[in-house]
Amino acid sequence: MIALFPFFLKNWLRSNKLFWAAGLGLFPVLLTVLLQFASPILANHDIELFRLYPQISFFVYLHLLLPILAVLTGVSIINEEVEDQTLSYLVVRPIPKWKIVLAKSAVYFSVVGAVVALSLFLSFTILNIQLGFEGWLDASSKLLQGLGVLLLGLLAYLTFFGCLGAWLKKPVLTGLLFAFGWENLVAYFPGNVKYLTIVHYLHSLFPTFYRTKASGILGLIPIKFTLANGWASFFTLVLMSAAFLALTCLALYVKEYKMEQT
Amino acid sequence: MKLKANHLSKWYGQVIGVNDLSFEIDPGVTGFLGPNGAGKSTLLQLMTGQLKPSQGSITIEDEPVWNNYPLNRNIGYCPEQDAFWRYLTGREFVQALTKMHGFSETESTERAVEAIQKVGMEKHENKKIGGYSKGMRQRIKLAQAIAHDPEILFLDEPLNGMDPVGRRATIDLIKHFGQDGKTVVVSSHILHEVEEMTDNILLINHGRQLAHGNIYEIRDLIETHPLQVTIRCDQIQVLTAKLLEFKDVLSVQFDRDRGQLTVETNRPREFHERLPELVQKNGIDIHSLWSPDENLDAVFDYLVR
Repeated sequence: MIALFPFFLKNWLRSNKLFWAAGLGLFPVLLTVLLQFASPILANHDIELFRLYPQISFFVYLHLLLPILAVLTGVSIINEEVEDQTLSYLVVRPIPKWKIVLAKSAVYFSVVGAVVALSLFLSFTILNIQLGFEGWLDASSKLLQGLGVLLLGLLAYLTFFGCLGAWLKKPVLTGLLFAFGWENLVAYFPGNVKYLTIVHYLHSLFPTFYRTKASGILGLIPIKFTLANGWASFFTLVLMSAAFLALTCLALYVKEYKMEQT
Repeated sequence: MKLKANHLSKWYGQVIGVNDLSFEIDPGVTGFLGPNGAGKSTLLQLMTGQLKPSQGSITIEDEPVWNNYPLNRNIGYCPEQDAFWRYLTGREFVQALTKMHGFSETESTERAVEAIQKVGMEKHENKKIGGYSKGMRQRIKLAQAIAHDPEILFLDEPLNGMDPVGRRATIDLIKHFGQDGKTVVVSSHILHEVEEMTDNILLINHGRQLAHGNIYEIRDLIETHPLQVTIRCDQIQVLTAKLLEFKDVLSVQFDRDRGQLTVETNRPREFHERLPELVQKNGIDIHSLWSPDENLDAVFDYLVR
């Protein structure tokens, strides 16, 4: 692990993945900048900018940025080594294959997590700029709470998509269908099928939005959730992540990746 | 270290990768020969534990290689595919992979530097691999395979894309490893390359083993395949007449301009045993004698046909 983590980290940081991950992370920040410019118009609709943070973090981060980043990076954890045919170099080393999975997953989680954290921090700061430093500090518990949930969500999504990437030949499409089809539809179905989503547990850990009484036009968004217990959701997500990681490791042990001639 | 395949087969659905191969490989250089698509790379991937045998077994020192990562400590592998983490420099690439063998930062760096020197890449070690020529990429791949000083080296088409100087140096390096008592398995579809490295070959085609052993022993096994021997001498007609008396001599062609004749025989060993006596008895002065098809190309062509 000691040799693998810096190696994969160096590769990540030098590749163009960092640029587009940062670019995606910048999108919500630009959105908040635009909102900042539009604050006089929003004020006419009885919307205070600092009250938008829960909605931004919920819709833009949890439902958009997180799944996109997780799909596009997660599926490549093992899959890129197969497609780039570099897996050969790794599996002929005297290291257990699970260490390769853990080290790569840890690198991906660290880098994407840093992008999400930085982006959320900037968005939060821009939205709360009018409150001054004291006000920012008072509200920062929401930032930490949101960040904690997003990082847990990132872990679950990354490990899930990493697992897809290790087992499937064309994992990106499957990943996108899961993230923007299954997750967005099934989570709102009545009955028990919602327990088969990741986002259901994240909703339960993301209570700020529901507790905030939306006002103005935001109050018109008609979404109702049945929330699970917070701790149960936390442990479920941790267990899910561990299970997905284990399945990814299993893929390397039982699956054969034939490296084609070039 | 000894390598052993026992009725080794690998197939992908209906497609056969390798079929019922049994052989033993001892220290020294062994060449895997076969045309493109013969199953050489599949065989090397089976030998390095990247693929699981569908049937039979492949062992190193009687230990199966599939999912046996501690065994990899003794293995060096240079894949055929032109695959790299292109953002790394040559030195970073070799050093990082060497470090994965459990060496410290300092030791892995020292070993990487040494290996890079051995393959003659020290001038380019700090350039990004993405900017390397094909020959340079081949050499840096070889460096990562040898940096940890493995007992067994698997080299899949290592000379592909190398210039003549690099080719010569790499052949010498491979021979040197073999002379050092290491087990070196080199695959190639270019026969004269392997011929320069070793006499010990394993011929495969369509995943099947055609022959294994010393090239000359293999040649002797092919009794039905006529051997050509070209003799340059001063009395072509006399020698032709005498040679045609032998039952095993199938034909004789002579070339007056060059002063040589080419004999085709289906009993090469007996022919070579008889020839000195015949020449001596008839006072024929032989200037040179060689067998144009006693090389890998001829054997390969014959066996693959």
